[in-house]
Amino acid sequence: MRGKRGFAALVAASSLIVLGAAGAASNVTFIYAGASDPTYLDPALVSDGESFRIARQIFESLVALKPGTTTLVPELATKWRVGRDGKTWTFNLRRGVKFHDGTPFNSAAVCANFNRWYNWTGPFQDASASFYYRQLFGGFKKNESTGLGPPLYKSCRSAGRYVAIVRLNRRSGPFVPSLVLPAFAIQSPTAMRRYEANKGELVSGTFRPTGTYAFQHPTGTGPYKFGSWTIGQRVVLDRNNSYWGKRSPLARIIVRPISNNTARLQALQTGEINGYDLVAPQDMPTIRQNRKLKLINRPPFNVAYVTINRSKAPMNNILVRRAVAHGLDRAGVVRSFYAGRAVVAHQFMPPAVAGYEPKVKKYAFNPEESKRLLRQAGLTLPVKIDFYWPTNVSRPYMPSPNLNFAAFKASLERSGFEVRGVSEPWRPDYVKHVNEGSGGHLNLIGWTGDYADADNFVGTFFQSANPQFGLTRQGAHGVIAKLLDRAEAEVNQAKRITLYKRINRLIAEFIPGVPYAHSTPGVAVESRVRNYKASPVGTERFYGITIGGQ
Amino acid sequence: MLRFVVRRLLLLVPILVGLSLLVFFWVRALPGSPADSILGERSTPALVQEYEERFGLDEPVYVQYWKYVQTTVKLDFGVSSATHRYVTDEIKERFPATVELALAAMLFSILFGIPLGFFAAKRHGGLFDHGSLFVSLIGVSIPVFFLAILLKYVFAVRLGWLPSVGRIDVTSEVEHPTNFYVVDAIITRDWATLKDVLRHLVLPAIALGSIPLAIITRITRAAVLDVQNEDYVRTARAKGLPPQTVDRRHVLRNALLPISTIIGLQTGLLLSGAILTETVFAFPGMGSWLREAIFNRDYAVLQGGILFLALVFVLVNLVVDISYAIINPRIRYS
Amino acid sequence: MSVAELEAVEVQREAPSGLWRDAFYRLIRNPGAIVGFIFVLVFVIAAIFAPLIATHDPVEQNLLLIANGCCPGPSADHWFGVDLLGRDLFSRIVYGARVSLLIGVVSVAIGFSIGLVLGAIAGYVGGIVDSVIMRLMDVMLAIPGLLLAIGIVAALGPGLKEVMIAVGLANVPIFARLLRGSILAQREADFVLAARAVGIRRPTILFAHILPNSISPVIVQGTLAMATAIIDVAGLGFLGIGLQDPDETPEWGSMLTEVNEYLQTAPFLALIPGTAIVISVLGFNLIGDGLREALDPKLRGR
Repeated sequence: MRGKRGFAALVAASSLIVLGAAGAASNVTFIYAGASDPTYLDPALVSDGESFRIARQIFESLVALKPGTTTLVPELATKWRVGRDGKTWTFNLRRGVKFHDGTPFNSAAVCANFNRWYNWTGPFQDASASFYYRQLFGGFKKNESTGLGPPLYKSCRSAGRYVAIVRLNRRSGPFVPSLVLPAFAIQSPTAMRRYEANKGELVSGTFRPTGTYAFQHPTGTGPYKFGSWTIGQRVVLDRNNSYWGKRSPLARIIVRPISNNTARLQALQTGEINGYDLVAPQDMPTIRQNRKLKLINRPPFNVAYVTINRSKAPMNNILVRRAVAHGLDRAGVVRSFYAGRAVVAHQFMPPAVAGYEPKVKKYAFNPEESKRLLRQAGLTLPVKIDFYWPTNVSRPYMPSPNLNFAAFKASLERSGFEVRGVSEPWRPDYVKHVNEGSGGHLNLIGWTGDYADADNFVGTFFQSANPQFGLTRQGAHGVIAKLLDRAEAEVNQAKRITLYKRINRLIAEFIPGVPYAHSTPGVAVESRVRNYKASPVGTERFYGITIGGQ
Repeated sequence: MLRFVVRRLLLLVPILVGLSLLVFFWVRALPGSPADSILGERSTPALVQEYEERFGLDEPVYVQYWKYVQTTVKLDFGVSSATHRYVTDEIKERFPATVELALAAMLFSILFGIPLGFFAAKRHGGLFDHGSLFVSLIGVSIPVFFLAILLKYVFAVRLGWLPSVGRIDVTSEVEHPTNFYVVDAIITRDWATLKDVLRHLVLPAIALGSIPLAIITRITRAAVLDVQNEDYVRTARAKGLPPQTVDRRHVLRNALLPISTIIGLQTGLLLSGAILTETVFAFPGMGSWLREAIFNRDYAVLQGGILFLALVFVLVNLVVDISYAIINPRIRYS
Repeated sequence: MSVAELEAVEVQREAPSGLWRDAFYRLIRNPGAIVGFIFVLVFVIAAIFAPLIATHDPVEQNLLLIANGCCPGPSADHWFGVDLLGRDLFSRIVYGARVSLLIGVVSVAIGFSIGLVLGAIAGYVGGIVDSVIMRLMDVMLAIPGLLLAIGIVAALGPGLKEVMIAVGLANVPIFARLLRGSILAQREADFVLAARAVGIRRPTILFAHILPNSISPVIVQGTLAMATAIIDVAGLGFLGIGLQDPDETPEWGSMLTEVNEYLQTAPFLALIPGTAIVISVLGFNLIGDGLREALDPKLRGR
């Protein structure tokens, strides 16, 4: 008797525990801190990380990145392929998916989104509105400014409720990979119509939506739906209980803006938030020493580099550029100033992106070789150059620009150069001067990827006559630029990868600049937070996170 | 009296026009464009060019100025290029923060400055007198931002008695109908929040108030010294009135006149001190807002914010002048 | 000789040395002024003899020292420790004095010279010109010095020259007012009329009476303006709106900019430059106050 009752009690107790755990999991709120408030919640009209952070919880795209990686996986599209002309993309769509307002997700919804962007006019065409659409798709149905080019998109039609066929005007390799951007998420056409998502204006030169969609009614298909937004205070997201995928353990997500680095850390230390992004490098030792906290790495998805401006003599001489490459102590900088959170970069894209070529020419730090090359170029040592670097800033790929500059200056001066350092505040002068090529012979800058495609890195830097490097699309650069054109238009993935590998080898020979680090930015969370998969692209889904011990 | 007020009010119009011109041209003299600040690495010369067109910077100057006047008169200051929020909305949040800070600083400087100055005068030539003069001198010699850093270091970082950044605890979820956090907390009888808000005000207020404190101490001391030697005070003493009554009724009250003038004129110092103090304490007021806007070349914010501040400044001076005229009848007829 | 002539001769003989000697004696008996003088002396010596006093090159970076993170404090090698880029803080402080002195002197000179011209014109020409100039000065005075300087530097761009111009311009209205007042006063002063009436010659009047009285407020103002200039430059440096290359040209205020994040680990990085600012400014303020008291005609003969 006792045995049976004991057993029953055990069962009862265990089921209570299990139920309790499940019930507790259903009430869990995850509080996260970003650096600022989102601009607004319609991802097609924003370009900042904080707005994307919110959008990633609410919205989904046709394709996505496998959490924590750069691998493309199906999301709202289960299969996709390109037609023989290389311009017609057929997407098979997932069935049984509903938007948060109950309307069905289907091919009509997909086409409605593509057409929405394509048909934008007036203020919506401004860069302060549709930045990413312009970057990737080039232009609109009716371009209203000379800065816009021929549109990539041609049309979209439904072939049945769950097949959408998108026709482009040209072949485009980056097209599908770029769809992971929240800017191209599929939003509910019904909600957009109802809450006037296509009403906006330019006020004093800046875009602002005038409907309520972007502020109160963003409607997607994601595992979380919009709850409320108190400007400057928090965004509250509630679990979508009709989500097509697995139910998320977190019932609620709250995102708060805390602009001061120290304040974010303090809030984590006191348990008032469960995690935060953009960890300052000087706080990392503190977090690592605290048992209750842990530092999570984002896979490296950026590149820090030194631009060499060919339009400033003697940088047009390949021997001089090689001397610079040998004269920078990259390993030293990475070792000393990235707190162990970076690898030395030898090319302009990180290892995780397809097209990465491990066998590019590498330039070891060799001051004697630099001097020899400079003499061979017929120059008298030391060669005087200007090296610009930014103040008032910390970038994920370059946490302490002043330290990088100092180390590079020292190593260059051992290598036959005389360096005049010029620093300017990042905003607005430094960025302006570097981007328009009016900075120094050498400049410190970098890039964080938007989506997992080589075009987003080397295409951005070297496809055009980029003033950062003093490029002209002629001569040696012309070869690279035309190869990049070909790679962009190549829709066969294997062929693309081969092309990019070749491009990366050529770039390493041409030395438009010297890449030196791929860093791993950090996210800090409480140790009991499990399953947090930090994405390389800087914002990730919180879906799937559990908070242990609650 | 009425004529005096009306005359001063009418003067406001040319002052405002002058100010708007000044701000307008100043903003346009700023090198660099918002595009680079907004887009960072993603900026290109083509985009910069486009932004300049959008901001209307390629139109003739008088056209730009006329548009500026038209929108400003309607109190439409435009949208911030950094946050895409209406400038008026941001002013509604930022301005009360700075006002609270400034009032707290003034309160601090008055509460400590007047007694200090008064007793220094009473004990003229003694240790206390020299001591208070010295304190006052230090107050003017320490840069506000260094004092702020010192206070932050001692009381927040080392001792942990007071918070080091912000206006309120970051996880507070309290509503702020008027954006004057102290007032809101009192109205809703939320004493916990009130305590939190006051704790965040202490260090910035002391830093910001250090210069007015120094000045008020000195002026009070000088004013009291002057008044003490006046005939009517000696008469009062000769009459046999107790010293405290003499002090209260005659000395203090008459000394208050020059003191209150000075208080009114501190607005300018408080404004410049606010930029520095708010930066050190990450206090979300007008000071830190405008500083960010300068870096961002956020034209709308700079035009709207500076004009607004200038207007406030002018109005405060007007009020001070009028109240001084009320207190001192001789001024009215000048 | 008549009694009047006798008195005139006496006044003539006394006047030139009496005022200055009086002031000097009063000054050296003022403990505050002595302390201030010492502070300023230290500051000026550091500035002028910087290359001899500094122990290291202020811009030379020694990254080995900070390889383990920021930052080693005061030591035998580096008296004030090392900063974020491995540079000797003592040498940077010493050279920073040079920068502050340079900017201070130049900007006060700018303020004084432009103020003199404007004040003189306003005083001599009078009438509408006077009103217009003084209104303009009022507007400039209404804007606090730091804000004016920020505005000017933002518009002109960062750089040593621009900072000197900005801080200098902020000083102009003060000097203009002062000098205009002096020039007006000299025309109508009672004591001038009295001296003329007694028969003292014009040059004597000018040098023995007018100039001392007009110069003293200028000297006092000049000293105080130095103090304000040092503070304003530091403020600009702190806000990051100042010298173009703050890490190459040591400037006390910009040394305080990034330090906010390092208060926990390396407080001396903030305390030392800040104290340097306070000492220099205090020195000039003490001297200025001492001078004001010493030269105050009301106190003469007490």
